[in-house]
Amino acid sequence: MATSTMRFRVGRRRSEQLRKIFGFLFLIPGLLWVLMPTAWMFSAAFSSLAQVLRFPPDLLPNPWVWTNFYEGFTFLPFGRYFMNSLQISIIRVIGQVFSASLAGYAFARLRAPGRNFLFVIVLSTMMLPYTVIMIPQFVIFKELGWINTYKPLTIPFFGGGAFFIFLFRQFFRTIPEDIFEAARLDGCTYFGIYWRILMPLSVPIVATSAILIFQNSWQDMLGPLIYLNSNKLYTIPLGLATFRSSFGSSPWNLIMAVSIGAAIPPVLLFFFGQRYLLSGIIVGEK
Amino acid sequence: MQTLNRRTFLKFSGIVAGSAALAACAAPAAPAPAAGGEQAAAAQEQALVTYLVRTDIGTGMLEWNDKAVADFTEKRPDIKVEMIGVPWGDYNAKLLAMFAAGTPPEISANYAAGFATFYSNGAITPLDDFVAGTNTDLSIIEQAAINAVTRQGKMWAMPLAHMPVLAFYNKAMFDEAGLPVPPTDGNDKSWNLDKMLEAASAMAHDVEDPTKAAWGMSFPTGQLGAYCWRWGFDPFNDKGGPELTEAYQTGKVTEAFYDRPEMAEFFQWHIDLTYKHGVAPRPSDTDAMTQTVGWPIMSGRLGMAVDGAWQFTNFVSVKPEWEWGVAPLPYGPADLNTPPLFNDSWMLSAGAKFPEAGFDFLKYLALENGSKLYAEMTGFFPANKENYGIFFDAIQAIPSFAMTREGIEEVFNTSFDLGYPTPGKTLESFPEWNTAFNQTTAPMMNNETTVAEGLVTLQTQMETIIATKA
Amino acid sequence: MATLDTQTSRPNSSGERVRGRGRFAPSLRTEEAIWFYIFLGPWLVAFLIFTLIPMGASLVLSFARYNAIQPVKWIGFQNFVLLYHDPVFWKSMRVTLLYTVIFVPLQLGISMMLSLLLNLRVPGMRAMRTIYYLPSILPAVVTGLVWVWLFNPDFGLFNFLLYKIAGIHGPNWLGSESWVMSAVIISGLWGMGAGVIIFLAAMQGISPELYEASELDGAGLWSQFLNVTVPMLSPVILYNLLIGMIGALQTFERIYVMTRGGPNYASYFYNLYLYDNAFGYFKLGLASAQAWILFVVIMLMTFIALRTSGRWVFYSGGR
Repeated sequence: MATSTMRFRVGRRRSEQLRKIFGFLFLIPGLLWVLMPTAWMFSAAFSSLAQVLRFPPDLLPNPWVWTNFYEGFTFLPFGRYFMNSLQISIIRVIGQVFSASLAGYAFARLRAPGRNFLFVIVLSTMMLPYTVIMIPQFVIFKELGWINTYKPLTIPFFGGGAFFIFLFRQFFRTIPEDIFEAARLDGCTYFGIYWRILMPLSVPIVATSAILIFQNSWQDMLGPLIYLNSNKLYTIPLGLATFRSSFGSSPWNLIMAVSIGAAIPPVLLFFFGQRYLLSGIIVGEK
Repeated sequence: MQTLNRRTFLKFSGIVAGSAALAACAAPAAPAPAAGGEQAAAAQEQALVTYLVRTDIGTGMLEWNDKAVADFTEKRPDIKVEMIGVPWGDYNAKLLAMFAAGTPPEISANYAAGFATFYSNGAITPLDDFVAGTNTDLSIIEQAAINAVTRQGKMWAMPLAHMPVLAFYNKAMFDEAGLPVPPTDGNDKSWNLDKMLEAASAMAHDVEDPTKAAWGMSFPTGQLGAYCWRWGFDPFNDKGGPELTEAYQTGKVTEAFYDRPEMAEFFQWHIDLTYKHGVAPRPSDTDAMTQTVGWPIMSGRLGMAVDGAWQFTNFVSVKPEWEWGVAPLPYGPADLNTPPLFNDSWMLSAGAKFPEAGFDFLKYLALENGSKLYAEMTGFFPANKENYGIFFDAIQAIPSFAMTREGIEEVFNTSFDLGYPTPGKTLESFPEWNTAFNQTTAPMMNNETTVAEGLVTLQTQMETIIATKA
Repeated sequence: MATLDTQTSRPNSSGERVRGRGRFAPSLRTEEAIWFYIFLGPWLVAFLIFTLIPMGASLVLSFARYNAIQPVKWIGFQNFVLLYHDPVFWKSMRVTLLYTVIFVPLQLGISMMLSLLLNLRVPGMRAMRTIYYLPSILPAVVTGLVWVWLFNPDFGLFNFLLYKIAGIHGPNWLGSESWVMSAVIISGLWGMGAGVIIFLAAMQGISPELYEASELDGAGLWSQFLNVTVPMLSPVILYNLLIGMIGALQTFERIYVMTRGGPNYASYFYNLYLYDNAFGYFKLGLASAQAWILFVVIMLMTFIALRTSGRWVFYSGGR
């Protein structure tokens, strides 16, 4: 018994090492592949415009131009756009996480007639192309007087969204049922269970949803383009589209600098939130 | 290219920062109230004119709009002009979305779709009643430009720019090859395709090696094949040039003749530039370069570039170090050099809430001080004849511009005399025709299929669209 | 992490078990149902106003001619007839389906391999994962243009490297009918961060004991992958397949920036044509008809995928 465990441990260690070596051999070309466009963007963000346009392309900036970031963010009011994007994204994250978690809880643990039917409806909205509803939605927003406000970019999402409702439901279903029953017997209300028992246990899934929702909102270009009219309400992606030239040369170095600067919040969120992402997403069951 | 826009950047950032600061005092970043209610409430004291502007940099349009609106507001405190900035590529999408919402901007421009598309969709108001009601004198606007936006005896838009297609050239490259530069007189028939090709061949070298390559010329084939006019042919009639095409009068395309031999000759000549003579970059390269690097001639490695007069805007902002100039289109096989004429015209939306105020603003932009600023700042050639001089002064102020005043005036005057409005500004649903044309001609232009086959595809596609419109 | 362990220890459908036990009185049942609908309230309201009503409206519009300015004009099935006779419509459908069929399996395979590697416990892996995820975060408006730049036949980085390293004159990526789809697929494979994350999360959930047991049986790395990892991941593979498919069928923004659908419609994706009809040509009725057709296609493909999935998807909880 003891010897077999020993042998197993040794074998396991060796195969583990093998795996790591193989893994790294594969990861490096992949890394280069992923990095090529990204590296080009980085390099451009630190180059002069003349150097960006040079052929053959230089792989490293020469000389390094640090002022692109400052110039890019002051050239258009990108500081303001940044704050606008942040505001929209945060409002959307709060509203969407709240309602998706409530709906997820309902689907995971509450019994009601029509539950399964409604769940199928929720899932099938994932298949609905946005283009189907885009135009009538626009007319509705107009009737509600929401054009040129942030409402069309936030409130419709307060429904939770199929994907996130699904994620929450999956997560809540992994929490042992006995907890719910015990809480009910202790006289805890359904909302009490959600708020006092479920939410504290749900840090991974809340973080996961928040990261993903933030990112969706942060990158949205079409919504702000169609719904916003005032320059002062514009968001980062819309500002970036504005940055281009129609038939002259666009300031690529500044565009790249702003793009990279704008990617910092979602990158930080991902970097620090990834351990939640990895434990929060549970799709592998029915 | 190296010296791009530093000055423009600083100027622009000042303007934007200023308006941002104003905006910051006016309201927090919180959602603004819906435009509709506000307008109605304010109707008594102040008319609100919303104005859709393109925000792409490098054309001077942003600076001009800011300055013109500020100046107008000072002169007419009873009217508030609110600019809505949109990226250049999304101008039409935004305009449509605003129409769909029932809140069209009072004033917008006919850039990509031409006024005819908006006219045929009932989106714009004719200006005649306003012109008559305010005793406006339109004689200072180039008549050809007014004709180009006239349908059923009514004027549907206000021309601000009126521009022929011209042949820009890099004089430094001509000098290096020991060649004389092209003439300035559009009636000079010695300036023809053969001459142009000869010059291009002398200037092109190392086209295989992109690090050292220099090309002789680039020549577009777009605008639904309007450049074929110089072959004595127009794709929308089978009798001759554009003046015989009914579609340009009505806006409605009912027949197409892309399968005719003149069309084949025209395309073959263009394709040969790249694949036989090796003097022109591939058309797809020119497009990709324009999208990323910028207009190829600004690289200093292209001898001649045929393009619209709006490209002066590039010279205004880049100010190249090498000497350059501009010539009329070269004569084609039919002894014609008809250049397509483009107008940028500003439209008053149907259903605008303050049409009178909107028209006053249009008048300011096209006939009053706004038009002077336009000629001075944008690099677009004005439709207002009184401002020709301002435009020429602005161009002559660029140190590397190597022409006399008489020379450039002659280029423009003769080009206007010989030109004809381009299909892009007169046909209804131009974007739809244009997409079909660009898509189906691409394999032929890339030498992946023969001209004969390519034209069959093109003709079939055009006939399909005609059938859907019937 | 906890999924599979807890799953095996509890029944897979909570509803039935409780009904059998009959623990709560009927009144409590009603209360529970009421709370269900209260909790679902935000979703229900949003669904009704922002999804269901617009869906109905666009279905209605698909039988009309509408240009956003003039009044709606009813034309029956004309929009659908028009599309049926429109070669560009069929071409856009073909391009989109072809792309989906090639791209989605590639994306699945590569993102699974990648997540296997990114799942290794090696120092610096957090940063490594972030780098791989970066392309999904950068704004699509900009990355689309970066690709135009990289694919440029003359001064793009790809052809430059091909020439430097292999001495090959690279193809005219975006300008050639025969190459453009390759370019579109290559650029698509760059930003697959989301799928990788879902795979990674699922891999964390596979219990190490399963690997240990198979190792005891003398299984090699490859057979371990085939006999443990793939079956345990199969529900996630299905999920990513569906999500990938739905996404691929709706490809738009990147192509809009990169190729505008050219040349000769070779990359004219379905949604590109739809967008052109709606926002380029003022044909909102026709665009609505197109959108509904796409919806039906997506539903059909999802249905087929789900129907055939029974054969290869393994649910550890037993079915």
